[in-house]
Amino acid sequence: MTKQAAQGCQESHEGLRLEGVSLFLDEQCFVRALDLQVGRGEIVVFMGASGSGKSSLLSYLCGALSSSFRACGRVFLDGEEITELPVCLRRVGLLFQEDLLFPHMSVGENLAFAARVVEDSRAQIRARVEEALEQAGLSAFGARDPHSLSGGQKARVSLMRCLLARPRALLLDEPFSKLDLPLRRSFRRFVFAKIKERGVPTLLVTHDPADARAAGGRLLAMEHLAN
Amino acid sequence: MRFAPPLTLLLFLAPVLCGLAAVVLPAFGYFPALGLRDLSLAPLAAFLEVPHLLDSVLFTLSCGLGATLLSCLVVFALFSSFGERGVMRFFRRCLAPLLSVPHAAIALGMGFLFAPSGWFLRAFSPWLTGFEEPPLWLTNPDPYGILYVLALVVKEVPFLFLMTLSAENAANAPRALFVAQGLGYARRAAFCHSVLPMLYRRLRLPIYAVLAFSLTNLEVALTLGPSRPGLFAERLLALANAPDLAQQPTAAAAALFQVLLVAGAIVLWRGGEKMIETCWRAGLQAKKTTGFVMGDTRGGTRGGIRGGISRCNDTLKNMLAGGGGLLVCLLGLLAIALLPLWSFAKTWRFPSALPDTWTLALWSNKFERILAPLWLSLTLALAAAACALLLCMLCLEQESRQKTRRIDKNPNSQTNSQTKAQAKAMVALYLPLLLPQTSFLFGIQILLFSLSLQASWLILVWSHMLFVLPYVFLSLSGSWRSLDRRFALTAESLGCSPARRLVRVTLPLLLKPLLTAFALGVSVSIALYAPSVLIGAGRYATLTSEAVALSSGGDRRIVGAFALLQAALPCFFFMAALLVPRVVWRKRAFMRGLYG
Repeated sequence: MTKQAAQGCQESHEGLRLEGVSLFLDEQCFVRALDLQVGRGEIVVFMGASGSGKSSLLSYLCGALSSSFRACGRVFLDGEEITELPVCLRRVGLLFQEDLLFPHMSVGENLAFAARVVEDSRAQIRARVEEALEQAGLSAFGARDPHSLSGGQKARVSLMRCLLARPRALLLDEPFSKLDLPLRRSFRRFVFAKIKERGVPTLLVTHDPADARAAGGRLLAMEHLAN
Repeated sequence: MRFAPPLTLLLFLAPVLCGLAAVVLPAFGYFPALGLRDLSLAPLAAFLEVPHLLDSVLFTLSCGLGATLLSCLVVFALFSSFGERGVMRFFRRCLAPLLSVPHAAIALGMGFLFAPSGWFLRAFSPWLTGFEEPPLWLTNPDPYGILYVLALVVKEVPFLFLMTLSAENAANAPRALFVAQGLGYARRAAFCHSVLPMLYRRLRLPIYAVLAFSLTNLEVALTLGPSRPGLFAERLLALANAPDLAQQPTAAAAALFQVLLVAGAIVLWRGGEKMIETCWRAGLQAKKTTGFVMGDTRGGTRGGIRGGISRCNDTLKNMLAGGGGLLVCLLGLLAIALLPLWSFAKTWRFPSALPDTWTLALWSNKFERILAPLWLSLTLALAAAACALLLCMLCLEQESRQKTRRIDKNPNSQTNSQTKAQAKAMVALYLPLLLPQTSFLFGIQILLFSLSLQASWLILVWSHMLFVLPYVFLSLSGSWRSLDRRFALTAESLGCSPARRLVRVTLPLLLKPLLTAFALGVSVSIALYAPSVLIGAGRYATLTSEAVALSSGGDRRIVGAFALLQAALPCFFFMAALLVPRVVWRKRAFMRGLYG
């Protein structure tokens, strides 16, 4: 564990905190009274069969739970309650199976779309975009159509876009499962390194035990959360 | 934003219901504006006295049901016979342009084609028929309504074809077909047993809309419909526009009757559906499925004479199905092609197939005559389509926002059931597709008269919007709902406000469907005839109303010019909807591929 992450665990108001979170669909309970503290740079892994409510839990945390669900409980981010905040004010980053780069924007525009939220001047936005492209190993790719990138390149741009908005927490919904095996390992290393480097509290939902091992943090089984 | 769906429904249902109420009350003798305040059955009695009423009603019913049935048969025959993408693409390319052409233009073109001096006889004269002069036949209008039915079929087949095509994609038809063929059914039987029942459920509303339109439209009836006894819609219009105001309650009774006529026809059609379904289910239980209608159950793998006969039979049916489709394409395209020919003709004597001398005189001399209706049609169409598109966008955006909600402390909140109720209420948007235009527009006319309101441009725009909105919603809602919701979610999680996300992400991603919906709205508005006659009360001349009004006059050149403009305007907007996204997204491979 890095130094930052260790600090995060000590100061309880830093990072992501769930208090008594429950999640229901009709009469079925997916999560019952969950209390959880995720420190800065810590990765907590959720595992479970499909339909066990993993993705719904992430939707709840980012503020976009489907209206057919019922939920109660409270969520705190760095000590501030975000339970009723709209998606756009939470600053919780999302990463899905698909890269979901906006197909009508260039690679650079995709990154700038995220950077403009936190940066003030155009020059700063441009600098941050250049920096992010460089970190993804795609320096000359700013003007490219995202459709023309390879799967691994798209995945890296997608992560960099997410980080440019300076999220206070990250929710990863099986972000590695569409990639083939060698690519999956290298992208996983890339993602985890960035998370530790920036000290972002992270929840990872996955099917793959290898992901869980690589994360090296706590592991929660959805089946146990329901009771 | 939150009020968009209720507002749309209010703008919509209120006039429709008021229009109906304004028909029902006068039909029972309550018409305060005329000083009639006692409920009575006198208007109904007066309506029943109208000469040759029964003939007219039966004739309307048979033409309307016949046109709808024929259109369905042509479309289903095509879909059951041809699975090859090439054949279907050919038909799609031929039929899609016909969809944007207004009914009136097709009807006028068909008139040009089949009149005794029309192009059809010219093509075979004098070398085959021996006619040096046009014969004295009664083909336009013909006493049997054949041309009327034919024109409707030419216009409805493209609509049903494209609806079936999109229903087929939505119902995942190819897979079902593949499975059924794997079980040993021949293509046609496989289609009828496994795909058609699924498709039909999705096609019911469009088919009912076609039926309602065939029974009640004015523009085709006025150009091609026989004058004695006359189609019901035509006679209703005559009553509604009668100079004697005392006739108004009688006309209201007739309008009410037209609503019942459409309702009755739909019930009749539904009964037919039930009967076919019952027979089909009984057939499934029987030991051997009959080859009747469905085609042979087994593929053409049998040898010997029986196999040969079966293969022959199969080819014959394919030819019939393809022939029906081809005939529709050919008639439609020929009818449109004749419009520009007439507008540029100087002299065009009978047996020549092309004009003898050409001229631009009409376009330069009558330019001013044409410009005013053109301008009115264009502004009406743009305004109505823009309003309709805006309302649909807001409704759909609100719908997608309601699918997710922020967490409320009270777990028993009613949001969920409210959302569902609202989604159900949106079905009411389709009501104007099924209600007879003449009836409820006449009701609105009575309403305006009672409130002593003058028809104005704004009221005309709004009456156009009533008919434009359902088509825009129908066209846009599919793509909007199938857009990956995670694009919007990702954008908002990056700190982008919902309004900015709508403008920067959702709308650009939906550029092509938005433009297509707008073009469809424009084409629906340009084709409308009833609002300008009933609401505009003759003071607002659009391209369509002018073309129909002139069609009885006999100057084919000016009719051709109006009909040509009427057909060309929607085409222009559809072309733009096709080309603009290609130019805008020339550097974005995925966007060019999106939605075909």
